[in-house]
Amino acid sequence: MMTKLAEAWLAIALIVLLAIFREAVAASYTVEDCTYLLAVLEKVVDYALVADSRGLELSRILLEAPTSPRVAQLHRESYLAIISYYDVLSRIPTGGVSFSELYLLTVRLDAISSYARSLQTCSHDPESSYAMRARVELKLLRLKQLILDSMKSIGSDLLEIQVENRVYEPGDYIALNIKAPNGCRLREVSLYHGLRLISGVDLNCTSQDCIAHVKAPTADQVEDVVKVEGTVKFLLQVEAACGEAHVKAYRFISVQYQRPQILLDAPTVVSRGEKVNVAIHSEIGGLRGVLLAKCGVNESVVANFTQLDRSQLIELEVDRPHFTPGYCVLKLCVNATSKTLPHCIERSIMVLPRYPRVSIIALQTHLTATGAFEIAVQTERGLIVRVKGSALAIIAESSGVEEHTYTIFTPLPVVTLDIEVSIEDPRGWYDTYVHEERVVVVNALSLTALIVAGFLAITALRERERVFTIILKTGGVRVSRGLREAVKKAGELIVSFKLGLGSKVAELYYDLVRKLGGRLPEVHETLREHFYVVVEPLVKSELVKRLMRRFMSIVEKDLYSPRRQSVEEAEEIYEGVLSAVERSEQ
Amino acid sequence: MRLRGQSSRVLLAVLLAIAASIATILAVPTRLDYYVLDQGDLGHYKLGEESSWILSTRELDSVECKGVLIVAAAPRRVDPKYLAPINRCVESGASLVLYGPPEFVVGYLEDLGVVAHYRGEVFNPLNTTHERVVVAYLEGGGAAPLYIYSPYSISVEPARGGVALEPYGYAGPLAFIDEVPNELYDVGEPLGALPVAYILRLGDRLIYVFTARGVFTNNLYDYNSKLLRELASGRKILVYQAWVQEELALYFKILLYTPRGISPYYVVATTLLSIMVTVYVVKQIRGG
Repeated sequence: MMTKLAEAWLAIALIVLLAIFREAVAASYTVEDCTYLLAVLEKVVDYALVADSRGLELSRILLEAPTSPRVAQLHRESYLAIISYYDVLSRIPTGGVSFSELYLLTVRLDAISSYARSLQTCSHDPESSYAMRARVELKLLRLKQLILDSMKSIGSDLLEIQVENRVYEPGDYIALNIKAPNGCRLREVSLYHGLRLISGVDLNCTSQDCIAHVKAPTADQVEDVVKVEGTVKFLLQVEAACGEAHVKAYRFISVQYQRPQILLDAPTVVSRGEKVNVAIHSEIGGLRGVLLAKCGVNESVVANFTQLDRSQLIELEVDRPHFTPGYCVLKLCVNATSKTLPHCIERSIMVLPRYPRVSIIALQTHLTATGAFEIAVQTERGLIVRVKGSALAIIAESSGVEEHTYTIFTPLPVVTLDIEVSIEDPRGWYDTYVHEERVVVVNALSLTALIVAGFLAITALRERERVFTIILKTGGVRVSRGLREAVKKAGELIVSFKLGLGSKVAELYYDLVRKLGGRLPEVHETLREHFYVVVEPLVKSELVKRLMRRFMSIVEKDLYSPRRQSVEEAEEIYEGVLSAVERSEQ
Repeated sequence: MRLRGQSSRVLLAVLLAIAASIATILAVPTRLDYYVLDQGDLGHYKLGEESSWILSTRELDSVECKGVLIVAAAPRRVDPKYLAPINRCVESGASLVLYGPPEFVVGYLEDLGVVAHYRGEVFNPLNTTHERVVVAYLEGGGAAPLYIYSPYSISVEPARGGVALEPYGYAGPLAFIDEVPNELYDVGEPLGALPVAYILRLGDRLIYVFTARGVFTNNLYDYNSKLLRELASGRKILVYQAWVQEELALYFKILLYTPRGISPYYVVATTLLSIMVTVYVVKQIRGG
């Protein structure tokens, strides 16, 4: 008894307090818990099924609830559809609802199904959410059935339409048997998808009974509206003129659309320049389409088909400009036909580079008298050989058409040099080959000179240590002072730039980061990088993470968008994070 | 009453010690939830400024109970000896507002003969203005919402002996009980209009029970003070603080304060008394 009283009161209170909740929802945080949103959706659909006004009120509240961007659009569409459902429901008793309006509503309700699927995907427990999603879809079917039942009662009293209740193939002829009352003249039959007219047929019947044939839309006719394979419902509208009035009656026509079954077979690893056979198999012949290659960001057409056989072999030359070394994707796209929808399939291939024949002769260790040593590179004619070394290596090419000899000199006594040999082909036939070698070089001459110079220096400085120490100290102090000042000035510039050039919101954010024990961003770090690298690992609580993420996005907007963000909101988050952290520590 | 040099030094030392003790106690941070001197989120500083404090169990016995509304909240389960005077006062006609953590509220309800169990935290992602602050609405509470901090849900066993809790306020129509404590909705967790405020009727006397950690606490006092005045309907509001006796230092500190700050008379009187006692003792020792 008590529960019933509470429920009854709740229903009234909900309507009265809607304004309060809207205000509260507008100020609330983004709802990111997909399982929760799914449960809420189920509850609202439950209310809608029994035409409980709580469903409408909740939908209005939910419509304004900020949700995660990945589901925000579907969230909005779903609750708008439910609000429309209630709107239509309220007008049915007065007869103020048109058939097409009802039909459009059934199409709009499909958004709920997509929304439920998205929520299941982003749920923290997708397995358990599956049952909930399935329940929502079942309830949605019942909801649609309610609308369909309502539709049957509209427009059917004047015109009688008989049509075979089955699923048609694209292009099939649909036989209609239409009976109109006396004084009415049948005019035309039209087929709609949503509000879009797909086809129309004029009826040239002399009597009140008319047999007409309408062609089920072919796949290429509807390829821009039918995106996924399956059964699609079209709205069949029969129009008659009864005196001055126009009477319309409606039926649904189901048409099954499918994608063509195609298969692309190609080797997974090929070398650039190779010719490979790509096999294309299709269930039906006569398909038209293209074969594309996508390497990196570039996508280009490598073959065009005007009439594809059921099984066809294409010889492809895996070479520039379509193919570059690395990971590539072969993409076969076929156009829509009268029976099948457009379809694309992909297959990945790895394109290996093509290198010239190269021989590099170099020792690992060179004991030299003067610091000069040689490396030899043998390769094919017409190729450009480049040798690069560390900063203290001087390289000179001494010969070469097929055999290139390079003399490398270093003045240092003992040094490890990184030598890079690259071989380029100006014709582009070969890919650039790069080889790196690390060699140790001992220069006997400079080593001896160094030892002698060291000995002389020690001898010269003997008895002059005091003078030497003073020079070192005074020089050192000057250098270090200069450096410190330069670093300080640069630091100030960088800090003021990084910390937001006077943004109060940014100052609060960085203050909070400091309090959480994090460092400020480095010069090279973006705000987001700093957040993911420094701030996020600092906090364990999901709530605090969410708050900090929200804070970071406010700072980002404040810094980089023309609109200044609310400092009050930033202060609220600031306080919220501090108190949350304090509580978690307690 | 002239003292010798050594005795003067002793007296001075004693006085300094007393002053230092008082200063130390005054300077001690008062971080204790539901404590009238705590200015933190869950403190009762704001409530304390606009109401009278009950600092001992005997103090309540001398109050005219028919004309008061007692606000009782504590950070943990409180020894029944501190609660007995409240019950006596309620029996004599006082109304009571009860909130705080589950261990306090559920424990108190048990003392009142209501068997309740903690079910889990209540979250309402759609109706949360700040972190864990949920907008609730009260039955017959007009258009003004009630802001509660960190609400939780309790299950109440069927009434025994005519004592029953009636739902009085709900945490929005789409709240859920976080039975698996992960701050996320898990499939199967109760979802809907969850009661977070109850009324316990004992004859014509009312006990308002809020299953939330914060209602008239500092963080929400500005939002909910109007409701408190409505509940009091002209009666005097008393904040029950006798349970603070379990924290001696904080209890001493509270004794030095009035609701509007430190009492100078109290400090002066205490200091004068201390000086007189010390001088008398020193004199006696000298005479002996």
